[in-house]
Amino acid sequence: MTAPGRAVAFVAAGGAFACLFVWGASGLPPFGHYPGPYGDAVIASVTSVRHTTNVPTSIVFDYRGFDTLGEELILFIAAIGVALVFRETRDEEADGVFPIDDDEIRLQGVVLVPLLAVLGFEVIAHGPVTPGGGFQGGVILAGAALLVFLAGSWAAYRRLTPEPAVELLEAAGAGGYAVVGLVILILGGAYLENVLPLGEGGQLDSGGTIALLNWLSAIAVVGSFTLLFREFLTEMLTRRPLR
Amino acid sequence: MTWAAPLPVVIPIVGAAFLAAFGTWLPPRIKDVVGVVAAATSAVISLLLMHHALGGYVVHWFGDWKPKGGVAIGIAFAVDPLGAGAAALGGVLTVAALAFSWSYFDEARHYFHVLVLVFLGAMCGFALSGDLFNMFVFFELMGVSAYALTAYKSEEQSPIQGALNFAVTNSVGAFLILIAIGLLYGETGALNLAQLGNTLAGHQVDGLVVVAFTLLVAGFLVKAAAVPFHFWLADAHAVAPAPVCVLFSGIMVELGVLGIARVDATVFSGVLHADQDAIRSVLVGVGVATGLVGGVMALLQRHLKRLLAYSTICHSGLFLAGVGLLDPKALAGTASYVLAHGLLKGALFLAAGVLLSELHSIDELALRGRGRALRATGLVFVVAAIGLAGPPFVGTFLGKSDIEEAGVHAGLGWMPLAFTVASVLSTAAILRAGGRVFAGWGPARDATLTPLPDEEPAAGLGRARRWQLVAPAAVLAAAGLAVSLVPGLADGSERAADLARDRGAYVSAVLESRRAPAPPAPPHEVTASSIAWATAGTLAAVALAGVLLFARRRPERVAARPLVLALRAVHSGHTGQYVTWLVGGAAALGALFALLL
Amino acid sequence: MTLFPYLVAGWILLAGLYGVATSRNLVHLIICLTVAQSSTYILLLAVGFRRHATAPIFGDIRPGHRVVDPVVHALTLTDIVVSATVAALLLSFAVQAQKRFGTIDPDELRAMHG
Repeated sequence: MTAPGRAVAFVAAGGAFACLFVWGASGLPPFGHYPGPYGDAVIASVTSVRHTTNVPTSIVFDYRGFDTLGEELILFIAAIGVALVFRETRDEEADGVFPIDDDEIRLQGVVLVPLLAVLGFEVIAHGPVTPGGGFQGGVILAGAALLVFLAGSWAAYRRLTPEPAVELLEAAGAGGYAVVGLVILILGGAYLENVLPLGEGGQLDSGGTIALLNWLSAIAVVGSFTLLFREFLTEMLTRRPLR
Repeated sequence: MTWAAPLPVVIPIVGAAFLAAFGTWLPPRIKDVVGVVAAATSAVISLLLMHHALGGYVVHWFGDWKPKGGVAIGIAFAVDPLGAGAAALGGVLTVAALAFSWSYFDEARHYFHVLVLVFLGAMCGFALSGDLFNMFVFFELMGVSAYALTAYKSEEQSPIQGALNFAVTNSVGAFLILIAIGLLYGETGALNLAQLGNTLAGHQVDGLVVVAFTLLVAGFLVKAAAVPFHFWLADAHAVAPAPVCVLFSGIMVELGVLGIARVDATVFSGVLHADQDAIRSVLVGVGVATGLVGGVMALLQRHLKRLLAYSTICHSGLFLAGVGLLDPKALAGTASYVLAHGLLKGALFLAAGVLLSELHSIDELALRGRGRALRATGLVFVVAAIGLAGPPFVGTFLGKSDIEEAGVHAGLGWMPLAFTVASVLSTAAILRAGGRVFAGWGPARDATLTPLPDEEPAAGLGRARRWQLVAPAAVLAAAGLAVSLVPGLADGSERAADLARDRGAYVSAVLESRRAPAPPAPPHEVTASSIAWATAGTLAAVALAGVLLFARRRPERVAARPLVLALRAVHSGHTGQYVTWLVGGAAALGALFALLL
Repeated sequence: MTLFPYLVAGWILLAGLYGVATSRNLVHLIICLTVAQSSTYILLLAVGFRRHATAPIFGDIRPGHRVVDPVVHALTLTDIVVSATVAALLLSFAVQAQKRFGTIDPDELRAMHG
């Protein structure tokens, strides 16, 4: 099939698909009037039974915590997959320093890196309480580390994130999540049952295992994203060194 | 035994995390041992669950969130013998693949074990889950580990095209599933399969129900490699290492078919109960078409793994037809057929791996006659191929005969013929390849076969002792042949199928904690006509292979036939084209269901 | 207005898939795939929306206040992570394609066919 032929074929197929989709969507409740038995059942129990105030985070780490294990593993596997793909054909490591020479940028880096790090920790820690959580805060932390490369030097970033440590971090996060559930299972509960003390709503340690799993997922996210950044950057810096 | 339900998923995952964390510091053999032990433990627990589940669904509520008033708040695993059996097959094939890789790759790279173990965990999760979004998450996890495994480079220089086509098409399939989940959630407020089925049963069959059904079926059909969603499979198998292909062909593709069976039985069998005939016609039609396309394409290949991949597509179509009959006996037959096929196809891929490791080629014509010294491998190859054809009481016979009889019983008298023709085509292709490689029969050139760059395998294959590679293949082949003879398999699978199709039992087990055991099976008979079809099919496959090898033909004329040219053009390797077919296929499926339901 | 957000989701899905089907550049193709996936976020979030309701965080509102459905928020979070990670893996394939074949045009990656 040639390119214009393919475009025409897709428009035809897509048009038919669109009709199907519209027909299906017309069966949905009108926008804004969702009845939601599942959501209501969760909301009814969240503050009283779980002592947390952030409902989506409670769902992510408790009510549907098993889905989150799967999701973390997807992140874990993608990072390993990228490392696998790149390392098979890499001849040399990126050993250069690649420093940033501009003093203004370096100054901004010095100011922003600790700020972002604190922000990241704050977002993670407040998961059970206010919008945020392990995933969101973990990405901010990984970004704060990346800023060391962007405003500092590649050598400094490599020192900050040694490979064995990063791999250990991501495996500890994802594996730790699975192991926590397993321990609870062995102790006689259901897998990932919330058995830790629930604390008080509004406090950082509320929600029992929600807070614990929140931190474990943050560790996994920081490890996985840092591994991803490292692999892509090494690939870029070995093939076309920055001047 | 509900506490054990998460274990087939959790144990491989913990093993993988352990290897990922400490892999750089562990000696290589320890990594191999951890991998095999984790996979074997998962398989054993799945088998125990399968046995226990004959007494009724084994339901595990994660986080101990039990349903209130028919509303499920948490995620459930609802283990039945069919799901647990699929998980067990995955575990067994993983053990075989890891045992093979022990000697096949030169270093025990721990990434391979990590990926394979997570892949196993994801497949078990998909098979055991009772929650639609949870099934989607494991579907994606299964996908991502598979994409990474496809790109694992120790054999080919460039697995990128195969991995890319695989990843893009399966991701689009996952989108379709997710849209269906969004529609169903909007309509019912449920993600739990039992609750979805219950809520929908009281609704009219409107556009939303039809479209959600279409999208779920289409998404799972991408995984099951049914026509026209199948293009990715041959590309992926051509480049993935042989032990990985064992898993893809043996259990991953079959899970797509299981997904359709599960979703139909639990979610849609209530609301669509008046449309069973229409659904049957569509699914059986797509299945048989896939079988025929797979069979013909297999005959056009000389890249052995690609040939075996098209054979998988052919058999996957027949599995779909079996499930599509919407009948317990046919479902039971599909289960036995999947089991035999998984083991036998696994043996064939491992044998192909031996050829690659010893002779450094995977091209049927380049290998012509060079396999003469590999007598044990050749024996395994031919015997496994015959097992796939399913002569009476061997290999796939039990499964195929059950499906064919159920088809005739449902009024589709042409099913035995269709099954036999598809099976003859794909088996003849494998036998032809076996004859050419291991005995040197047949011409040295054949223009009907698609030439593919037969690249030197990249460094990374070990210098194994041959028996270490052939032994897992032989074990799988022997097990696969014996499937039709296992006492109690026919009865057990029939009981499992009855339980799987019983929506009432599912709902009461999941939402009301009332387990009902699988009903006793009627006595299992094998009719004379299925023995006749099986014998004729096997003989025809051997005869066709013989014709292809020995008859003097003009391959250039065959290669120039419009059908062959059209088929080649369509299987172009181009990602955009595959996606266009996917969207078109989904739209066509939807139009069919819209008209018929 | 009752169907409009769902139609937007459908349009984005098809626009993204059109990009995938007709792309001449692997990086563009992968981004289009991400665009197509973002349509699922919109669909999920639109399905769970309620008029005159606020975010499901009970820190500053009392329990019992009308909030939007929180379950779809959790589903969307999972979906976003899946999408980002698959995109990362696919981009690594694109980089490898450039390295091995010297091109990232799908029309030229023709090693395999038939």
